Amino acid sequence: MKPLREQNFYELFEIPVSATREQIEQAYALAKKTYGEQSLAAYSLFDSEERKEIIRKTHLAYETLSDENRKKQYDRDVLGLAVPEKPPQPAGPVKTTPAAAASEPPKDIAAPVEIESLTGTLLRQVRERRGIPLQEIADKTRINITYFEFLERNQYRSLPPSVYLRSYVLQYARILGLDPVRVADRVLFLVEQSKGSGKRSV
Amino acid sequence: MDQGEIWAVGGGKGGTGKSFLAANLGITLANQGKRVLLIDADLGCANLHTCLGIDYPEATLSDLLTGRIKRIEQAIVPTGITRLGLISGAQDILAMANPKHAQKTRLLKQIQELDMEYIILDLGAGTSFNVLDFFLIADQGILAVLPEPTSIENVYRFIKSVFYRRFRKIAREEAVREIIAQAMDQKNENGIKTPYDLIKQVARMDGAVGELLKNEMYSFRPKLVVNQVRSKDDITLGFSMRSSCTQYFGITVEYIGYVEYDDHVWQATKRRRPLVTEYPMSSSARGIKSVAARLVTHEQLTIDYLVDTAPRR
Repeated sequence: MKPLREQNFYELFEIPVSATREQIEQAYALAKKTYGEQSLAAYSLFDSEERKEIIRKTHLAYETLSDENRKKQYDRDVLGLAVPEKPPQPAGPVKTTPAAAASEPPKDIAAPVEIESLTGTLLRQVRERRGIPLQEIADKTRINITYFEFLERNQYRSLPPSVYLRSYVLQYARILGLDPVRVADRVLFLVEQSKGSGKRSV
Repeated sequence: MDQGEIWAVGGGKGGTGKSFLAANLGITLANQGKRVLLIDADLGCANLHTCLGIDYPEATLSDLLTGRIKRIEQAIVPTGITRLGLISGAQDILAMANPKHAQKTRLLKQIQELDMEYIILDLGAGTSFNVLDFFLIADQGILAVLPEPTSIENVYRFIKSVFYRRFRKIAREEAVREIIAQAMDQKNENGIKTPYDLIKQVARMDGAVGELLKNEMYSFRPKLVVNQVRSKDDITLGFSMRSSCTQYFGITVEYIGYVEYDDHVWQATKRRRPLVTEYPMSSSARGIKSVAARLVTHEQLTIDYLVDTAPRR
């Protein structure tokens, strides 16, 4: 088994990729019970912060796997499974993306921002405003810091294949407190764009 | 089967039903036609014989260890149940509570040469090297837990002790052993909190040993039995503990069943009669039979089980 931060959603839930809706529901219910406030099983191994982190990931896993489209996308981009597909569809406003307007305190960064405006530069600004050093993210995720540097410098062509990249960006966005899936979709879109249309990297 | 399969029942805390489980599992197997030997390895606090309703026998494990008895067969006493033998533990000789490693090895070799299909070791409470070593030697290590905080904490402590003990045996180099010893202390200065951290640290010092430890972690699969279950939440606890162990220790704990809280157990115990003999149809006896069946077939409970027991919504 892998440490939590390296587990994909299926590993986290201990279910196969072919799991039924029912199995996903069960796994989610169990995880909530296992790592929740009243849990007997987890409190002596994980402190309250760690349990919250697990619950957060669990929640994200459930949201992704219980949604047919997002599950497909996840299977393809993170697991690298071939699925009859169409190009990633970046869409909708990102709720928690902070404004580039650099004067507000971090508390106000919940203002919705169009996903279309999200770039590597903006991600760097968000990160700096939250006072999170890039090295810290690299340490936490155990992902090579150069990838994050490329991302924040908008050097999309230098980024690793989307199979890996998606997972990297998901983790990065989560640490920044952004909607991981939306941000990952957007970054993958930017990568596609930088390569010119029609060519896909899988 | 050439050699008997060894099961060891442990779990850290006293009073979680280790002897109860060992005795009743043994009887269940014997009733199914298997040749079974129960060994009370709770050196110093032996009372497995009481669970079987027999008096403290003349010959015990300590006679074997001290050499007063030469052959292991001489230490086996009948239990009144066909095909089920017992080697009782040392009850009073404190010195015997810690036999030397060579003694234990010799003993186990003799045990394995016996014409038995299953050998069930009832381990003592706590996490002494003795207990840990017997647990590690067993083909199937069984952990008895009660659905209460102290018992759960002790089971985790036990799991941690067992495989750190194993780790230390693998690691020959002093520096690596030192790290492993330090890791047992939760507030160690290396910041090692979980076995993952430990393996990472060890791998940095010695890649090959790191690999060994990792393999060890994968192959260590203790079995969990939740005893004295009173609610569906208590049943779910087994799954939650399994998940917590995966996340924290990186090991796979197999949840092999539970035994319901049941007045029959109390009544049988008071009369010094084994539960499965006295009340074979009670819910607790049925629980034990399911556990035995899963141990024999190497199966575990799956989470769908919860849906089957009580429909949700």
